[in-house]
Amino acid sequence: MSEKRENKYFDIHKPVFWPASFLIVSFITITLVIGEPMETVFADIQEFISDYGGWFFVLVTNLFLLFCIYLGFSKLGGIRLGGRDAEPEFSTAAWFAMLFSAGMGIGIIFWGVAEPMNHYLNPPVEMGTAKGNALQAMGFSFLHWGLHAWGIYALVGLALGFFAFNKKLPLTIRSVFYPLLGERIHGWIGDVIDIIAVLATLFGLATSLGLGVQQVSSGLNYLFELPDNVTTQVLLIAAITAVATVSVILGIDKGVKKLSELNIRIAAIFLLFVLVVGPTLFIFESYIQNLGYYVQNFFKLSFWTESYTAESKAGWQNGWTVFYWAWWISWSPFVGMFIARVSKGRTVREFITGVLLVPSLLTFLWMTTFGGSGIFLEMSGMANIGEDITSNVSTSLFVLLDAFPLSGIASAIGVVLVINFFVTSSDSGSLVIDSITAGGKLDAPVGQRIFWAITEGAVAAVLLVGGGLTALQTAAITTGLPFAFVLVVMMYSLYKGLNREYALTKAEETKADLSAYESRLKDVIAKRGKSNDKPEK
Amino acid sequence: MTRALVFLDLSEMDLTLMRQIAQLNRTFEIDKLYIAHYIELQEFTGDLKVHFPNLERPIEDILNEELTERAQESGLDPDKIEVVLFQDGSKTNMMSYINQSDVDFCILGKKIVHQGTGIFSGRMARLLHKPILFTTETSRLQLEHILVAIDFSSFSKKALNFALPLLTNSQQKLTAYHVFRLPGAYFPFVGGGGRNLQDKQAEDKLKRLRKFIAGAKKADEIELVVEHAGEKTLGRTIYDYARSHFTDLIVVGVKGTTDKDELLIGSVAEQLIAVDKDLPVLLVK
Repeated sequence: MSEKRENKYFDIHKPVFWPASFLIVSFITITLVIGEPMETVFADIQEFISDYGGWFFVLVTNLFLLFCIYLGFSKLGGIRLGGRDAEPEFSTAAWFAMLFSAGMGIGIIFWGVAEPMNHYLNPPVEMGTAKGNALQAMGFSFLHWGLHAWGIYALVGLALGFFAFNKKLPLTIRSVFYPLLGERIHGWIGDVIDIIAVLATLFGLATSLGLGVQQVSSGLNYLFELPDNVTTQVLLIAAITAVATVSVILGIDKGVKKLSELNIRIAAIFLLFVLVVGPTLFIFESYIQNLGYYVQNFFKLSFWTESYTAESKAGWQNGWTVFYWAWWISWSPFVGMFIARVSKGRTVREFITGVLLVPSLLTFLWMTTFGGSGIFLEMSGMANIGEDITSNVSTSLFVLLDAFPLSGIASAIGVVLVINFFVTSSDSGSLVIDSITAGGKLDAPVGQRIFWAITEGAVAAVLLVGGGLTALQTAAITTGLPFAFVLVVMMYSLYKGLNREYALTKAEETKADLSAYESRLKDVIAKRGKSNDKPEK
Repeated sequence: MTRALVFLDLSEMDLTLMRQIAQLNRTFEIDKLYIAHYIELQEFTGDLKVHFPNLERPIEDILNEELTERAQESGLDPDKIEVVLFQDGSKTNMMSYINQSDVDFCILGKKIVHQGTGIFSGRMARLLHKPILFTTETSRLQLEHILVAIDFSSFSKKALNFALPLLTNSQQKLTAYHVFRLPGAYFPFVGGGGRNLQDKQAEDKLKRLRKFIAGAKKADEIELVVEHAGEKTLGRTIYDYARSHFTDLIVVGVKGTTDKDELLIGSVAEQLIAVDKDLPVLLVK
């Protein structure tokens, strides 16, 4: 539809753009040609990676988080993004609001009800009592959406921000490796890194879009009894991608910015609505208790690897924890770039504390409100929603809303919200991918962004055709794995870069002041040192 | 009886400072000027003669002479000038000595002292309990237009009271300035209130500002300004206003909360004395 615009004008970094596009287009073609059998291929790949690489994901996400916390509390925490005298571009309150909005998206709406309910109904570890299972369910949901997720984003965001603002390198993933590779980041190694980043972001985003469209389809089915199948979903992707394209054409100020603001408002109202019509007191009480449980069991949950679980019962972690870790890793360039751009002028310490805590706490509230309400209904026997949710996760939000007053309107709002998030994710996602494939430029021509917006939609559609949820999860896991290696190296590189910056500023501060003073003192003494009272000159 | 203390560090900034003091002295008479200098000899260990072959008399005498000569540039009567030297020992000691003295305010040249690091001025601001005037190479201290930043606290009352006597002739202008941030703007996505709320707030603040000023001398000559900070930091908003309205001096009151010996100064003051700002700032404590 906007194919003509594609050729209008391109400003690309060829060694990244073409290989990345080629890989993506071949992926789309292969999946379409092979068709149905791809589902088992996807399932096999997913199983293979999570069976053999699951422990690796668990290990590195913990490492990333600990590394971030270390940075925040070490002497490096005083380094300011943008240099010593940089001032925050946004006030603290506005910055918090933006971090909040970074934490909101399709994922949390899709899984907000589904995830805690699932863990409650199929407990990863049988706790013996309903109460125990419920707490554990919330604990695992918090684990997946909490500090670890934001630790990954904080790492990428901080690295991007530091090298872009302090070292004046282009805002793209390869820049982060400057301390290790030096000028070689502009060579083929840098290209490979950026290609991996593009693929990871694109597939991570497509996963999110795929989930979103499944949910929209379920919602429409619930509201208007439209058929909830792959055809509807693909048509929806086409339609929503078209809207996203319009938003791209309108530009950031008129398009994505307006929509995101609208979105955050709707989401806030939505949250308040469920808080009010739902079990309000229970939500507040359990929010506190869930937080306590999460803190108390933090290490147990985050280092748990199912290693002593019986063979027959194992596999839970692959579908959940490993999937999430891979998903977060795969789209960390997306979130990372956003938080980097709004965090100029913050110190490393402020950055880490803000990015780890602010969105986590909000997400926890969302999870408690939606998932907790679901568990509350199920536990108290007020409504039997568990069966519907386990049979089709994408319906879970609507099943929950059905149990409360005004469910029709609420579900409609839910659908609008997901569509809107789809549009903004697709729009801002194409901005990020576009920026990476254009060598870090932020003002690349619109034609390219339209190309990426369409590609994202196409990948999401193809994944749905080729295997639904499994395919979506496989996409995230497969691209997450190579990018996880990139992140491990990134940790080292960032550490090196920050340390050098610290040493430099320290030396500068004391040396410059002192040695300048000394030479002045010497001059004065040279002038007046002689005991004959008159100066020499 | 006004007693000022100025920090000199043997750099070229010393002369600039003296010329600025001369300017200041034209509108606002200085009765006593202390020239403070901190001798830093840490790097010169052992016999000083090794480092300075020319050194044939006490270093204090040399510095005394040099600084007195530099001070003449201010045009002040020589018997109004007194050189005070501080040596070795910590800067904290120097600060507490000054804090206990009868000095009314201190003058500090910003850029040169910290060579762009901002560490020294920040430390000064915290350690000194006296009002400090931060100036830069490009500042003029003619004080034709003074801006007092007011947040309705007792500290800003102090700042106002400090600023009023600086007005000695009718050419001078004083602006009482208040900057605020709309509570709604704390969450930009749910703001909603928009323009109207902002205007209404501004009106209320202006009323409050008028009341705040009411008791002061020459209250009706003071210009009142209220501004909304928007996305900028409060410090930046004040600075930008001052810049665009040809202000010669910004006066800010600083909370006197002490943490052991160090004064905690607010973020606004911290922003105003940051290196990238080019206007003289007077911190009143």
